[in-house]
Amino acid sequence: MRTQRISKRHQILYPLSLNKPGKVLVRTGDVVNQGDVIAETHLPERFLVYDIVNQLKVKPEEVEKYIYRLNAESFIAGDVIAQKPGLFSRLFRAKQDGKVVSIRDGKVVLALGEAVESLTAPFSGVVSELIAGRGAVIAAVGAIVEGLAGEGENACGELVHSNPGFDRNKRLEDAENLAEKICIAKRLVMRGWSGSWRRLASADWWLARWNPTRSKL
Amino acid sequence: MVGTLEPDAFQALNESGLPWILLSGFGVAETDQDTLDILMSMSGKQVHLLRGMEGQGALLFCPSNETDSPSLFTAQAENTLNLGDRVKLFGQPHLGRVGEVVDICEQDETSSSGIQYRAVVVKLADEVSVKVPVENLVKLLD
Repeated sequence: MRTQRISKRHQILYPLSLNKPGKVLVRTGDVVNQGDVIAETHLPERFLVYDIVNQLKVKPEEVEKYIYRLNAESFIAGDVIAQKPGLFSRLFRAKQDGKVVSIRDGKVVLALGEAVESLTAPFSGVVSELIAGRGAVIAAVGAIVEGLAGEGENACGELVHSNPGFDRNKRLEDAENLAEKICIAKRLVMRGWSGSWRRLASADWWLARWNPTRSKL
Repeated sequence: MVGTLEPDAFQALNESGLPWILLSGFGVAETDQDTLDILMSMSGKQVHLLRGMEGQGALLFCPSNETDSPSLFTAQAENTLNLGDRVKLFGQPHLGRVGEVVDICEQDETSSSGIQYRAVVVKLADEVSVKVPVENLVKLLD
């Protein structure tokens, strides 16, 4: 059975969850404000595969001699990862902070940089439940109107009543005045040219009706 | 937040990238009075347009400063339809109208096109009773 909730006062339990496993930064019972970080995940910005055998011109069986870092060891930008000493020394320095992911078959795989993905609370409330490694459920009380359908990201703003439509370029009318606002419209329509106006503007329509013989008369 | 949509406006809305909520459906319909009252009470306040939770539609939420949790003690089975439940119809010609369930037919009905459906009798606000397929209504929850 499909339901639609319309209530002046209702407690919502809104789950917030990361797409990838991460670290949950709140605990059950914490009061969170809008914009507070609930959970975050730290992932490498990029991976780099470095072929030591070919780049440093060393024999495959001697590779381990020239690698200065262990598997899973962290490093900072500028650290030497591998070096072939000698008169014409060759070395491989890390350009970014990171971690050694694997050393195998004469190749070293590095995870470089750090991309942080944060999950923030869309409204103020209380953490009522934790979703292990992913996020939390936020509880809050307020008025609620549920829709039959909807799309898009979470948004916040002042609620205003308006009656916008889309122009013929599929742009929302009055978009400047409605910026950072949430607008209620009874019915959303296309306000492009109506069929008859479109016909009048079309060259084919005029050509079809242009009769040179009649104009000569 | 829109009451009803035209199909071509629906396409434009999707292409615009704006977050949106549809209340009643596609076509021409008046938004019911209860919904309008709540929307009027939210007018001018900071509200949140939230993506739908699992199995639910997107929602508009206006937080209050109350800290008690009313629904903990009044929780009811939400997904079953009972006599007396308030429902909203979203099939023509009754799109967007709200009524009360007065009968749930035990036997499946057969439409003129041969499709079998479970029918529900709904009494609308103007005392008119209509028989509609259960798929064409949504149960309204307080």
